[in-house]
Amino acid sequence: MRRLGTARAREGARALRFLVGLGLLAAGSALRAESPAVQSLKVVPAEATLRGPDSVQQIAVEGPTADAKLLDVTGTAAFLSSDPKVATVDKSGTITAQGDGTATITVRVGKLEAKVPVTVKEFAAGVPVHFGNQVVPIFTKLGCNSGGCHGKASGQNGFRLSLLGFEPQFDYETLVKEGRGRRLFPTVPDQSLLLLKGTAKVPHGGGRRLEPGSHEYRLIARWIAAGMPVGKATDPSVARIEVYPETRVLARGSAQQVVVTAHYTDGTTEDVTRWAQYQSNDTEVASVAEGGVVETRTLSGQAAIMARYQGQVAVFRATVPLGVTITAYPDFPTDNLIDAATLKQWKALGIVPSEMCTDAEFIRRASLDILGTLPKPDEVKAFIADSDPKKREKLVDRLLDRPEYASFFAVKWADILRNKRENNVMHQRGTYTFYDWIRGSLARNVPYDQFVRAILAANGTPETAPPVQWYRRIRATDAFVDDTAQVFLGMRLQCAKCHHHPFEKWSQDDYYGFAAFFARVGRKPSTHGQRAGRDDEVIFTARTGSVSHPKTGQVMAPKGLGGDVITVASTVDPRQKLVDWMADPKNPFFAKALVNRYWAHFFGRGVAEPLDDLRLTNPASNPELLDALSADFVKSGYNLKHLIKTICTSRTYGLSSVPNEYNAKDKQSFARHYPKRMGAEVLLDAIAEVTGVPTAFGGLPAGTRAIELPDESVASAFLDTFGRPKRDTPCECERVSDASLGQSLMLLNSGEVQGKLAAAGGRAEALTKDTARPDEQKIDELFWAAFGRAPSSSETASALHHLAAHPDKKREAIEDILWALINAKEFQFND
Amino acid sequence: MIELVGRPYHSCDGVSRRNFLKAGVLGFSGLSLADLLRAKAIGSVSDSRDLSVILVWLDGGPPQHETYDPKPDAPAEFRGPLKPMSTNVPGIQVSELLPYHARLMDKMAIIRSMHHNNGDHFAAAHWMLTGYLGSNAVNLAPQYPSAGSIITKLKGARKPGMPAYVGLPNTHSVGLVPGYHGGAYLGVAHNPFSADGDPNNDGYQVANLAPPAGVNPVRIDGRRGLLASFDNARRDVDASGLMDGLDRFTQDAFSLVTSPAAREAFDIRREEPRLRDRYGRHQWGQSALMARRLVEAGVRFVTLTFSGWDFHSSLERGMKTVLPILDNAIGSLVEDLQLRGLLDSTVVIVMGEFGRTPRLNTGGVPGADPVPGRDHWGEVMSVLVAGGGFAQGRVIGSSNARGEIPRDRPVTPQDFLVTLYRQMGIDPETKFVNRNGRPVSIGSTGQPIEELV
Repeated sequence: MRRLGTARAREGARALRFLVGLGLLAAGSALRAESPAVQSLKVVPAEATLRGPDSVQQIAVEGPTADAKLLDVTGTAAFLSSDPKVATVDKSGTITAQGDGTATITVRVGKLEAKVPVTVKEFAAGVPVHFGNQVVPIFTKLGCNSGGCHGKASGQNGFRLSLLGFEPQFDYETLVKEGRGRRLFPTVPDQSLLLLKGTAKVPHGGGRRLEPGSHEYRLIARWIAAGMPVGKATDPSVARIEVYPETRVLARGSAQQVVVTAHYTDGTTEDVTRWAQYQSNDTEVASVAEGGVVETRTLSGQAAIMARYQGQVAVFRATVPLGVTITAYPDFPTDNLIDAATLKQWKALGIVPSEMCTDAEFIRRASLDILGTLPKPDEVKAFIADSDPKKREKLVDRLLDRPEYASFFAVKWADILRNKRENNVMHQRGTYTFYDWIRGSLARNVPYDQFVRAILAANGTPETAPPVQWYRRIRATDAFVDDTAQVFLGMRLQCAKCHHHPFEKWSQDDYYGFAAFFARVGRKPSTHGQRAGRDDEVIFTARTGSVSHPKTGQVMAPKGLGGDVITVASTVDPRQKLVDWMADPKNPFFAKALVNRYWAHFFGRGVAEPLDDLRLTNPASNPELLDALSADFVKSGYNLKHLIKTICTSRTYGLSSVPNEYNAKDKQSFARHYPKRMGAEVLLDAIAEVTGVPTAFGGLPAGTRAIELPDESVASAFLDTFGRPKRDTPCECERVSDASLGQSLMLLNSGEVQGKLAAAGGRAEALTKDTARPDEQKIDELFWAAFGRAPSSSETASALHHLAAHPDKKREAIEDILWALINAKEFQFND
Repeated sequence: MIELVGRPYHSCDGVSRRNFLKAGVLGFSGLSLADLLRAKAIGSVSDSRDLSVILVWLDGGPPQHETYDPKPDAPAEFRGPLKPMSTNVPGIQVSELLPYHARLMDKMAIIRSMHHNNGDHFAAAHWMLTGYLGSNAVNLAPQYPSAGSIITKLKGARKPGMPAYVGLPNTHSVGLVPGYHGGAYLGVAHNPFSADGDPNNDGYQVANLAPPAGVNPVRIDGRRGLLASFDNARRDVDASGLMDGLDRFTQDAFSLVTSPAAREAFDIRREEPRLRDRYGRHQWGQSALMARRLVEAGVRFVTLTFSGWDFHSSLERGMKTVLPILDNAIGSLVEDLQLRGLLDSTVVIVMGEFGRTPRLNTGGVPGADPVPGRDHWGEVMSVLVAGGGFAQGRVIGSSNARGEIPRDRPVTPQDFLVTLYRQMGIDPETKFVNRNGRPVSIGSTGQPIEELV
């Protein structure tokens, strides 16, 4: 019965190899190919100590191939125990304790051989089963305590377990003391409802979860028979888990045994490969079979396999190269640190970057990305004509000095800092001054750590300290924690508010320890504001204030995530200490979160995606890239313009979006540019620019652009339709780029767009009145304005034909051409 | 009555009606084909039923005593100003001001034990429309997607070329546009397509459906030809599928603008004047008629927001104004659907965010309006359901003698929505990932109301 799933997976693989061997399946068909011979054997662990009768140990067998890469051969290895009375081993490589003593496991692959000494202890003495460390993980592994079953807050059919077993004490009470004692039956363990239901011997909504006679079954039965020992509070618990190996390059259609080891607080270790839960972040690249066997699929790329055990997580990363021969790798200079990191990964994946984009594409891309603004035709033409080899770099410098840069990035920050009026007149002054402050800070290139400090540690009124507006929206303990962690640390902590985070190591202790930084945020009405008829608040540092753990009631001391408890004198604002912790160059989250956010701005996806979810179990697609860029950002003194310049002058940023045969399927290693759709404000401004008709926004000066709107309450049906966020959340994901029918109708058939096409003083009117230039030149102008390039001959021909067909309606015909340009995807996308 | 619905209105939570008179989110319901195929592939949607839904949202909170749960035997201060009326189903009574309902009771079911025990407009509206406690008066932002957004995301329009989810005449919840009728973390693409405006007005038009001034079908044709020759962006540069999505919506938009069938669905002037009279020449009545036209044309989910039910005072006068209009609208709608053979494939739901206090107050605004009204009451309320294969001529659950709390068979908002999902072939365990990355089921704690099926 043991390791049934693994054994089946192995047998499947063997059968496949057999078919390949017979020539029934084409070798090299992306399926599991015949393993190249290994030169020697490397066995992990090299020796094993098994404690107690429930102990097992998985072994992984690898060997270096001729090209010095480690190859997993566990599936083809044969295993033999020298003394089955001490330890047995099955064909998947799992050793099981059978009696005290020592034995040797011989591992054989072809003619190669390795030996693993095994010691079994405490078998006869029989260590008592520990409820929290041994029984609860079974519930977790079998899914009993998952959020969809007994783990949900209301339980299932009157039986409730703590979510994912994060509260063993609760589970113990439920099992042993509730249910009128029917659940467990120490005299006849097999008659316990727990085992009868789990094995579906009595009807169970969740079906058969537990195989009678299995290792899991026997362990639970033994625990019941022993009178349900709970274990002592002082017993060791799992401090962390480790996955062997951490990374591997795997061929498509191959397998890798991983070994998961739990490290306990008393320094002991235990093999938990069998008990851990696994999850792949890209099942098209790799998935996990029972028993920790990672199997790669037909697609190349990268996959992160999360292993989770007792609230601890660890990750195995698989890199699966395309495996197509590259005759000559193109020259790709790597003087920019980004290019060094991306090139290294492309080579590992066996893919080749696209060509560099054209100058016309580059200036349109950089202008839209840095300024949120289309380049004017003259700018594009001058840039193309410029023969300076450093012209791309110089362009980026020029763009960063333009005021549109600060406006455009202020929209991004005002979104996630939730600068939101909600149509409340009394809040308008606050949102406008906060917006001005954000924009001013970006224009002056205030170092990012200072920018964050001014927000998080803000004290004063909207007049004296505009960032106090942030506290207008962020009022409760959970909002302080959630917004701060997500915006500035790339951590989504919300889960840990009520229970241990299922995909991170964060517990409620971490959550409320973090909350304690905000325990002394004081507020009172601003007398100045009241005199002016507004309900402005003063934010100040209160002398007292505390946050308690909701379950234990314990008053929490401030503690950064994964950091030490910080002592704060009553004369010091704990929020200052929080920013000290964040801005410490050694902080593992702060710089990375910002760098990843900005990377996503320019590349359409973060190195880690979602861009503000940097949890351990969601690794970056290129960790070295993110690390190097973050280190550089810290070294620059948190210089935002420096970061943007580094990104925009990299060759990686300057690649064309046109794929080649190697990178067509690449979606995460940036081997080509990924086109992005213009955001709502940028699109509206671009239409205003191309039609020559500015948008009028109620209550704001004429000429105000959409990227200059101070808050979310400036009415615009166009912007709302195209996904302008209401700033309800600290997530950039609130700004959606999804297409919708309403958007298409707005562009195709709205008075708003038609009004711009036909407005007096607009481009269509000007071109109609211009009798000096021939039509070809006018068409040329329209294409340069909209697409940043000259029209092709067929495009010119179509436009000329349309003009000729409407000799008496020339202005309308020009409007139609403009309409078609605006509705083309080439216009709406930043390629 | 136009005055009542149209007059500047302040709900007691202080949200000005200006909020929902502003242009608002022109959210439209867009279904990605990939979404749909995925939903079908994982078995969360089955094709067994092809139902449409018309949700009549009585914003502000209708009183249970004066509508579907009269209490003639309660003391006067509970009973309220109105008498009951017998219906065509023996034993079931409704308000005397709902005679059309009474004649059609054998086509309808009433849930009289709905409750969530929350008296906050926002929390209650969010709860009723999404099935979850989430937003509230302090934190207004929608936390969960509406049932309309979920259903249309999973099932799309009933006929291609039509929007899946449409709202009119004034789509909002408690003044928020579209508020808890929207898609929340499913994205604005799953908000209702706004057909806002007063269909009782001769000039009623849905925004961006009719060509703007100066543009005619010939011109649209010419533009389309030009677009075809300019729209040459390489598709292989976009692996995200967004370009394909845009192309599909552009096709749909063209067909909506140019195909007579689609445009006609939104043109209420094509209805017989006598039928229009029967629905009532009022914004509500004509909106109900529009809803029938839209469902007939293939819209999946129509939300009608009938606002102004927050009668803290002058309950009697208010009821005598709004109930006859509501009665005409709902009665005509159910009867019309029945006569056209559409009732079995169309679910009609009438509900608001909560019921109202069983004991009449002594006037909402002391000094200004001393005439009694009723205040917020989430402890019990009534929901009307007709069509879609649901039970007919039946009352499910009951409230106690004074209409204070459920007496038997208490029902929660999620119980009801789960029943609706199941009726439409949607697995209530279907999960969507919210903005925290957490998978949230659309109704894991709801228990289907078997008596309704």
